Amino acid sequence: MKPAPRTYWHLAQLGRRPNDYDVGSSRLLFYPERGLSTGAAIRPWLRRYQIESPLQCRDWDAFRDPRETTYASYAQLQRTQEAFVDGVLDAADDRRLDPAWLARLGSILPVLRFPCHALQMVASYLGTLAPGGRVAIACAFHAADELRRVQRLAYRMRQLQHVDASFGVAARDHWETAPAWQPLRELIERLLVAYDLGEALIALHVAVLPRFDELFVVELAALARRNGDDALANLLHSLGEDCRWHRAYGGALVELLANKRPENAAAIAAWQGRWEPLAARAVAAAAALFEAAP
Amino acid sequence: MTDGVGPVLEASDGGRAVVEAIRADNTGVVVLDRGAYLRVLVPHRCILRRAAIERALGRPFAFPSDLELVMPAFQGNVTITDDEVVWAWSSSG
Amino acid sequence: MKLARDDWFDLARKLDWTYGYVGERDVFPEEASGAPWLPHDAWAGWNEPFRTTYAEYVATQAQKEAAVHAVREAVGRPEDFQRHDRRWLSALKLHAATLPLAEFAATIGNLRAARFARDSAWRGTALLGALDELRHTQLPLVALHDLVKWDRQFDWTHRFYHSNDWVAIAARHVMDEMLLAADPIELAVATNFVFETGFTNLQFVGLSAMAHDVGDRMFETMLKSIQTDEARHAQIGPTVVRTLVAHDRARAQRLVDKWFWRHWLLFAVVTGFAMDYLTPLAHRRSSFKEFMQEWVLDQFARSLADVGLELPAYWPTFLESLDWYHHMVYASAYTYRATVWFDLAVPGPDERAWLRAKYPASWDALDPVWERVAERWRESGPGVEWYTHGTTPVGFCSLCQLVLCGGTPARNTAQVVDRDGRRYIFCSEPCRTIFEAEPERYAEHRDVVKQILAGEAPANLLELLRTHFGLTQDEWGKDVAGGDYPWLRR
Repeated sequence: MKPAPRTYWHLAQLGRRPNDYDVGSSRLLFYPERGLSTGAAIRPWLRRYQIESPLQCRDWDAFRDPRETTYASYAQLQRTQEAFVDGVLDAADDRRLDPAWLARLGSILPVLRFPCHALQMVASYLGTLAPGGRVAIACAFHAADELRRVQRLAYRMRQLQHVDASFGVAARDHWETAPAWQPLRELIERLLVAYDLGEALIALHVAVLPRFDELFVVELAALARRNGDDALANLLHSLGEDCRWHRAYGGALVELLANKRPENAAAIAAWQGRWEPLAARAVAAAAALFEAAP
Repeated sequence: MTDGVGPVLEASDGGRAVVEAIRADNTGVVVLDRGAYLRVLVPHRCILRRAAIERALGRPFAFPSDLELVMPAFQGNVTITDDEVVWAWSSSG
Repeated sequence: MKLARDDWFDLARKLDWTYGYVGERDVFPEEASGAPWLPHDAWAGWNEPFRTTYAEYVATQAQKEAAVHAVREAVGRPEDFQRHDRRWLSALKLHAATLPLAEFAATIGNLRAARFARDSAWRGTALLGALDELRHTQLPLVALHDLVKWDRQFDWTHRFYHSNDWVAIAARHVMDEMLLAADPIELAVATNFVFETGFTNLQFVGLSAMAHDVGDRMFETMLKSIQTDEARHAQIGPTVVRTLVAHDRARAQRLVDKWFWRHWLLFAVVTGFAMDYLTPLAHRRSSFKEFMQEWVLDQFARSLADVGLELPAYWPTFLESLDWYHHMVYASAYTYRATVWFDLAVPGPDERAWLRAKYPASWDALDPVWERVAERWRESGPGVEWYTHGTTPVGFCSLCQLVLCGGTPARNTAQVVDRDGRRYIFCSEPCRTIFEAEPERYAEHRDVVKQILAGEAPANLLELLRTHFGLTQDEWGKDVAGGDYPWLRR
């Protein structure tokens, strides 16, 4: 007689005791293999952008988040990060900041809320479209990290408005009209409508995020530090931890997909060829905002 | 009570402190004890003030997070600020 | 300087802009964002009443997780579950199978809303909702995992939605439409407005109250903790419905009518069975109907009036079915218990007296069913499951996919409709109306009977449940006492 299985049916072949990540994230989606049992407007959408995407993978659950993030571990991790950031921001004495720095930062930080909100939307989109539960989960946490980034930018913006009431009040106008922002706005708007699953994934993780985060997290933090704005530098350092994980899970996913089929690698290269120049141009234009900084 | 509004609270010390705070600031409060939970109903409009719950508990209490921990459900439309929570219907029904 | 939430939060909530390189309709196409398509101005006033920042969210949720974890450490081992009455464990298995993967479908639906909902504040709220639903997926999957080695029926906690079991077909039919396929507007009406302010309270708060009385602290804590999330993100509902009512009242009414009925049928099975049959009598505080009155009828009717909508036209039918429907389905499920993954019980004399007191309008007509079942068990003696088991195929409703149990034992409300050369059968008038309003959504679906007729599933019952439903002998449902009830021995 076979010994009684000690785990759920789909984990019996794992060959080791499943951990909470295995148990809580494996084979959670039942519709990709069965199809939806009722028709709705979204059916042709899924066919076009998911089922018939040039990027194909038979087993999306072969993806494994390198951090093995579960809901419980995510809440705990980010609670600690947010407590750290609260401490940093609430202790800041912003009255001693250089007005020239505030003037420069006012044309950057408040505007960033808009593209970061769009990144939140794109990560959410990948989550809803991914044919594997594990990918969807990573995307959901990623989207939540972008929500975190938006809120922390807003919080800092308001803090600085208490020093200079005009700080960032024209942010939306800047975003929509300032020449240095327009290539980035065009990139972001086109990214929002890049609906193919593979294209959205490659455009976001390979073309946009590495460049965007390098400028607006790493370089902005260095600039803040040089200008005595340690609160912002430390905030960005904490947000940078999130970005590092986005690079890690995105990299693991792209690598998995590229190795699955030669056609995938070709499709990925084609999207890279299309999106990387756009992203490079957009980020270079935005970098001009930094150059005039003290 | 057809026009009753208010929270459903877990039957814990935190939940009971919320009940006490609601009693302090509302009239016509009805509390139904269902064992695992307490249903609070106030005609038309129910207000919970942060000051009152902090008095009842003797410690700081944040809206909505500390309330959320003890409130599995509620009846009526809710409005939450840093200092008070209000449940009400927007029409007289 | 520390800022109060209300001082800064709006700067993070309202972030839509005027698109310059693509069109608003490209970013929010109607098939993904929902009908009616309105320019952003119509949604710009969208406000979530339950304002929660990301920092508050992770702090509160980490605290909730820690509290549940502590209870799990204390009373979440298999031996703690083994102590419970077998009927209660059956209620737990029914809940455990139908919820976790449906919650994950809700994560997917909420992520679609986090992308395509028409205002940034709505998108942010939906995103936290998506995370909540992920919590509700992982919490039970992890908490119940260790029970699998002790009782194979708990394997259905994960396997249910991957199976061809007839209950899974019915559940997918609802969840696919409500969560996986829905646009943000329909999602907000179906889940946030109808489901989470009414029916999930019934399931999570009502059932957790029963778990409290049974002494199942693990289940009580888990359910209650989950519902505290729902109470927060359910607030998407009324704010969306108000805008919908202002621009397309007829659609708002139709969506509410559809989803109230669909949820009612589903919960009559999931919650109705647990409350009126599977919870040990000594621990029942209220009947399913009384819980429905408290959590759904009073509250839902008032919420509808508040957003300017009417009660559904089928309301008298619904009120009547409160006395009948779940009893009819339970009797049918008992008779075909080997087709499900949990055990069912014959109500004994004390329970039947209780049911008669709780359901005076219907019980006298329902009681003879159980008298006959008891008589069969007396004849066969304990352990002879098949003597009280059905063998002939049953019919399923072309909309809800549940057995045709509308009406009363004397008056079944099934309706046959011929359409485009095909025959459809409905358990009730509301199911027919819902189907006929959007036949393109439902007409292609095939239930078990249609699969059998197409030769895709075996017609022999035993073979059907083994090979098609995927139930092994130690998994399929049995009489909870094997027919060995003290009240039968005389």
